[in-house]
Amino acid sequence: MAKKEYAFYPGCSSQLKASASNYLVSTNSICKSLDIKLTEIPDWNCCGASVGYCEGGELPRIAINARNFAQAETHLPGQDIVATCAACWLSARESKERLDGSAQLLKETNEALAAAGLHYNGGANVRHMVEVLIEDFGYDGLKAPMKKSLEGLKIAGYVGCQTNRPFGIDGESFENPMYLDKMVETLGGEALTKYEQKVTCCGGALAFSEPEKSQKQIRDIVESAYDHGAEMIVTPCPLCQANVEVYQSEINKKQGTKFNMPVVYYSQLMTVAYGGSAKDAALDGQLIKAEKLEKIAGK
Amino acid sequence: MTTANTNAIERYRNNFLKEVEANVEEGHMVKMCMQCGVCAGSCPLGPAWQHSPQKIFMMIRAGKRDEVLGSDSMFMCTSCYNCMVRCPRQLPITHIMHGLANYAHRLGLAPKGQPTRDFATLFWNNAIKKGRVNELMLTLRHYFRGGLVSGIKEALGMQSVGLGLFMAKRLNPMEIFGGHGVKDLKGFHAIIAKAKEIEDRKKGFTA
Amino acid sequence: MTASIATNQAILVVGGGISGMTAALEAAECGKQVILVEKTPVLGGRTARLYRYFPKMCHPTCGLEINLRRIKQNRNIRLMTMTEVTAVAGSRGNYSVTLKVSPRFVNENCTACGKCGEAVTTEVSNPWNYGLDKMKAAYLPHNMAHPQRFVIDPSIVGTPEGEKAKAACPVGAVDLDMKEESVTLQVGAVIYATGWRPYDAAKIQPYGYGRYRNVITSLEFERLADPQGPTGGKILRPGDGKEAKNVAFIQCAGSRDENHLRHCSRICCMASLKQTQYVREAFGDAGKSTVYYIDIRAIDRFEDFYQMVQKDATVSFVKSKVAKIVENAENGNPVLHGVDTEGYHRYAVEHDLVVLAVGMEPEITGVKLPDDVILDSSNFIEGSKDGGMFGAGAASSPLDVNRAVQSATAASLHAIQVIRKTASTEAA
Ligand SMILES: Cc1cc2nc3c(=O)[nH]c(=O)nc-3n(C[C@H](O)[C@H](O)[C@H](O)COP(=O)(O)OP(=O)(O)OC[C@H]3O[C@@H](n4cnc5c(N)ncnc54)[C@H](O)[C@@H]3O)c2cc1C
Ligand code: SF4
Ligand code: SF4
Ligand code: SF4
Ligand code: SF4
Ligand code: SF4
Ligand code: SF4
Repeated sequence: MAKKEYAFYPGCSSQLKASASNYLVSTNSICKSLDIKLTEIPDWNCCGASVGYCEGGELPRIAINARNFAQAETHLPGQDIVATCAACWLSARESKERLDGSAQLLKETNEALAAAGLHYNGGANVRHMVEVLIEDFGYDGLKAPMKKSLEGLKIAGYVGCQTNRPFGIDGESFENPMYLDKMVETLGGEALTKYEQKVTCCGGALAFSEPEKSQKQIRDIVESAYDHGAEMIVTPCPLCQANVEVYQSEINKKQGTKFNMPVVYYSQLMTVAYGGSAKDAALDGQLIKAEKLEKIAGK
Repeated sequence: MTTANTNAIERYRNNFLKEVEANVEEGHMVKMCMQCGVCAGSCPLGPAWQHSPQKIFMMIRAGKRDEVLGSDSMFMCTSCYNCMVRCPRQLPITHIMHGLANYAHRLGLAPKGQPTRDFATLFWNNAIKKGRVNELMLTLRHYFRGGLVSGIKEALGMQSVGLGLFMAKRLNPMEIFGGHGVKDLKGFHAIIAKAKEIEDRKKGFTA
Repeated sequence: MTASIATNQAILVVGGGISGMTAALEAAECGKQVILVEKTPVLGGRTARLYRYFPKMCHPTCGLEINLRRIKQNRNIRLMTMTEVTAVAGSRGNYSVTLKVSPRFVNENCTACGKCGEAVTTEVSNPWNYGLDKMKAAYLPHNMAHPQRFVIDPSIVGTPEGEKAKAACPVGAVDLDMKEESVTLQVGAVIYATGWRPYDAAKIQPYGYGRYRNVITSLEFERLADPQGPTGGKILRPGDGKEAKNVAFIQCAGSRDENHLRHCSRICCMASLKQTQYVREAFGDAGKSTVYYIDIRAIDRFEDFYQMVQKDATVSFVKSKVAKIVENAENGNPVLHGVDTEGYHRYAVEHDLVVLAVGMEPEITGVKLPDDVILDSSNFIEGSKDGGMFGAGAASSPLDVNRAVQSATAASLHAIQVIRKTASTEAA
């Protein structure tokens, strides 16, 4: 039996061939090394994300999250729900806290769930994958399966917003969380702890609808990483990853910059340090190749 | 003007704060604001919008219904939660901004053609249709929202992005024909319909 | 060693700041027996570490001097420094208190000649200057210290450095064998004059205290302005020792904030107004102070002071709670970001130095007090259920010195009444 078991909420972007599929592949790799068993919540649905507010409103958004909770409660009793996407984690956890805080809301939600023959009892515990790694395994525990050191790699830890605010990971500060840096150091890499854009918002969904405005943010995020001598950026969030990686070419075109900064997930770094191949780490999924990491993986 | 809007005007007359408290997500917290300005200084896209949260809350108290519900500022919120963790009065600012956007949108008062409003609507509809987001359709719909010609232009502008993602196996062209989805779609839709019904009744969107 | 002094006619005053000294003197000058215990090696509390006092801008030393003289002359006061209360049992008129006395490693023979300090080389962080500088591990806390007796830092006891201090002392005052002691006493009433401490500025994350060297607290700024402070009274910023001519004051740093202290700390508006005048004093018209505030709370008689500062052309006011500070990596200047709520102008302004007007929280926050003691929602002491224990000064509310003294006098009178009642019932 696996050492730890969780009810897994992959979220839309981490599905196969979705924009964060590389996140999923590498997460599976590290779970194997750490002896974690993730079981997908049967027939899970989208959380509605932050931008769902406009059309979705309050109760429908909470109800669809509660549907996932109800499924987990029934089929994977006693297991914490773990999300890899910051936005999923946030929507789910926010829904959970609202439901915990109001009997009336829970009642209305269950009225809605009843339409599909479901019921939520109120016992969900929603966590982010990083939380699980840091709190349940600890930095020392994360070191255990290491086969290679990421020695010499200079990495800027870009935390973004939603893995950080309003809930935060492991009680860390909102303005200067250190956990990504600590993870990088655990893996033997060089964490650029003075990187000052680590919690700057990339624009989130507005990178899509208001590209001009968000690209200024993204430019700052990448530029500062260069200023600190970073060779790559690491993130815990699929939307952050996508926004910061994908728009670099756009910014280059419009503003004449020469950005070519790889943006990887912590799970990809870990996979490589745990001896996984470039394929296990889904490094083929990068738009901007993380060559230095590939090289270590090939060693 | 929507009937819901006429009804709301009729019902709350000159008390917009009351209207917000009753109908907007977390609206009851608006009155706690002490106008310190921290939230206003925290928005990442702040320079691009007209009304900061602080200003919006002030306008609510001043009864500026048309200005608030017609503002595009709520749609400029990136959900970064900077304001919320800093607010000395612990107002759930992000949620109130979302709630106001939703309310304005539902009453038909939100600015027409506001890109985030349109995108957010697209997003929700896309997610609801199958229970999971179809990223390709979402992208295509977004680019073609302004019609075929401008859509092709925009999509071409971003084609390096889309193509790259496609090559990196992170956008699935097959998604056009369906793609991921929830198996119990009927149940999923029934839940949303019921939840919407309850909420609409409470917020006066239905008679 | 456990000494026991039985006298329920005595009053215990905990804390030797301005409030504790006042309360002790009021009672002692009425002929009551007072035991005054102070946790640090010296009397004076926080006020002794201020450069100047508002509203008259005098130096706190003169007031301190008068009080110290009165204390030295009064035989009814028994002073115990480096002493903390660890337990209080019993009830009104009849308390049994346990005190913990930490070793000073220097006895009464000390003449404060300073030879031990010259002999040792080890340096430790100097709490008198809020850790802005270091001092020798054999030290006199400050020039006017009462008692005028050196202290040996425990870190050098049992090391050759400790032996050096001992060898240097011409009067054999260094006693490295001193041990922590526990003392139990009987008293009739207790006054808590334990004062306040600055709210931990590092918790106000967006301002980067601890991350940015040129962001300091208002208390540290008092020390920078003081000629006896770490910079000899020059306003030099900690980051690079550069003169800080363009200073920003951020009000309500940690106060009036549900994430930190809920209460208004009441003195910090006045403190910042006062400190703008330190900048003027140091740099004349070349100095520049900017006060970022939600609203200025300069209550009643302080309104004049506020008006005086408003007229000063080197001081400007921005109505805005600063959203965040970032550091300009090139010159180390803090850059303040926010929105001016008068007109909603967005700003990003660079200053040489930022002073956080940190809030006051009770020093006893987190300390276990007798169950009978009643605290308000911010942990300030309101009194006790049995009516025999009282809060005085900043331990009871965020007060300026004048109001702290009034409050201490009131607490002292209440304590005297308790003693009187006990005496009369016992006589009957
Ligand atoms: C930046 C700043 C500037 C200020 N400037 C002015 C000014 O210009 N004018 C003015 O009127 N006011 C000023 N104040 C306010 C002033 O500092 C207080 O009014 C004053 O310190 C209150 O004195 P106190 O004796 O009540 O407390 P404290 O000065 O805090 O003294 C308490 C004493 O109790 C001791 N103690 C604490 N706990 C224990 C314990 N458990 N056992 C034994 N002893 C203990 C402490 O060591 C200390 O010596 C200023 C405050 C700040 C923050
Ligand atoms: S946040 Fe995004 S990825 Fe996560 S479930 Fe919701 S839509 Fe899907
Ligand atoms: S940084 Fe961007 S993607 Fe990441 S959470 Fe913030 S808005 Fe979302
Ligand atoms: S931060 Fe909070 S209290 Fe301050 S203006 Fe914004 S909502 Fe109001
Ligand atoms: S959550 Fe929205 S309102 Fe709050 S700071 Fe971010 S963008 Fe502004
Ligand atoms: S302890 Fe001795 S050497 Fe040190 S100051 Fe006192 S008398 Fe002088
Ligand atoms: S006195 Fe002024 S600075 Fe201090 S908490 Fe009150 S309002 Fe804020």
